[in-house]
Amino acid sequence: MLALNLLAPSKQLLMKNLSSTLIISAVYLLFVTLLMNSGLARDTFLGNYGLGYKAQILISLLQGMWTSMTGTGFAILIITSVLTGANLSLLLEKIKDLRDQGPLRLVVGGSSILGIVSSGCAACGLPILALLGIGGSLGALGFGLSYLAVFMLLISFYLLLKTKTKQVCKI
Amino acid sequence: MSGEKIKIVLLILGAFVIGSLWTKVQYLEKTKNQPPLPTNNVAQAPSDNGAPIKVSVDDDPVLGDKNAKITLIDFSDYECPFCKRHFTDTYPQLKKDYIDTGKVKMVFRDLPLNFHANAAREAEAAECARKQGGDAVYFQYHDQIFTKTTSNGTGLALEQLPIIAKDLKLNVDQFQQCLDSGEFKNEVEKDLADAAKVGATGTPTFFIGRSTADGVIDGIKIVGAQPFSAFKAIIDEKLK
Repeated sequence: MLALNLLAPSKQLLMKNLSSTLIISAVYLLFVTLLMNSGLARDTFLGNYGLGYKAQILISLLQGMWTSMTGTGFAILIITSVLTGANLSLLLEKIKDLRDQGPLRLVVGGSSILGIVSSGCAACGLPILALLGIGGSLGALGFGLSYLAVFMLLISFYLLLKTKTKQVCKI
Repeated sequence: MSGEKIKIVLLILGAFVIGSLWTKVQYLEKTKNQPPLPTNNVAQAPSDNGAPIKVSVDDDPVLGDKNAKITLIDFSDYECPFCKRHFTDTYPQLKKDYIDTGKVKMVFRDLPLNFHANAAREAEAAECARKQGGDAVYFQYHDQIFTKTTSNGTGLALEQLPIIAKDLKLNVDQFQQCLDSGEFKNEVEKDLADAAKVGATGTPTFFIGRSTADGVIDGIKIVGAQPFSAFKAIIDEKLK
């Protein structure tokens, strides 16, 4: 029921953030792809090579996304990148909204929990940033924890949608 | 960029860093009871900062002209699915265009990962084949393993190893004796140790560089079953 209630405003929200989602997803995808061959990427782009060589290596490494991982791994990577893109887009918009409401105060607590406490709005709870961070990193580091990454990103995405589609801040 | 925006960017970066650290800790916790690689020099592994890495061909099997201008060192695992993918998708083209034409020599070094149960034994078996027939037979045996295995650790039953030897017309008794005695166990472990030293932590990992007299190349590292075009670009650049 709650999910159904989220659908209509969520659709609008997602359409509004589509371009930023796609851009962030593409950057994430590129980052993860190059991460596997970070040394080669660094040598290629910072080294004294012609543009043709740089382009060839970049295109080859992008092609390598298909050949250097399993079908499932590739699907998970795409899902993770899209979710990361969607999460970050929503998050940036959320922070923009909060900024309009007043100054943000940042609190970093615990060993791995990063949270934002804003000016007394319960619906604005953004400790999901930690979920997003851990989720995104799990996906990028690829220690066989990509399923967990997708799960965490989904939770983070759901929480963001939920808070973003709320019209009032209840006490 | 305003202070607010910087704060936001720092927050997002911070979240990823914390996430990475958390993941790393979990990973280390998970792997701390696993046997370490047989080397004391892991800490000496060079950081992958893009600079060429010094890698030795050691005394490992060579495919192609020994005087070829370029050396490609392949750290591989016979049970790794991506090594098999490289073998089926990329290696034939590499061999045809660069190895058979004398431009590149390929050196095969073993990096059997500990979670691939049969990989080390298969690596030793290939060395036993080499003992009887030299590098040419080594690579015939190598081709047979990769062709027959379905990979992922036990893709090739160990009982198949002497059968492959028989198919290649090797002396099966000698082969089996070599395998049972563990004659090349140290050789495979040395490759593992060398892989750790040069920062090859996964398979397949390749190093491409200009050949040298002492067999130590300044290699550009490529990780994973990358397409032929990646190898072509690097090799052509090195051949200039």
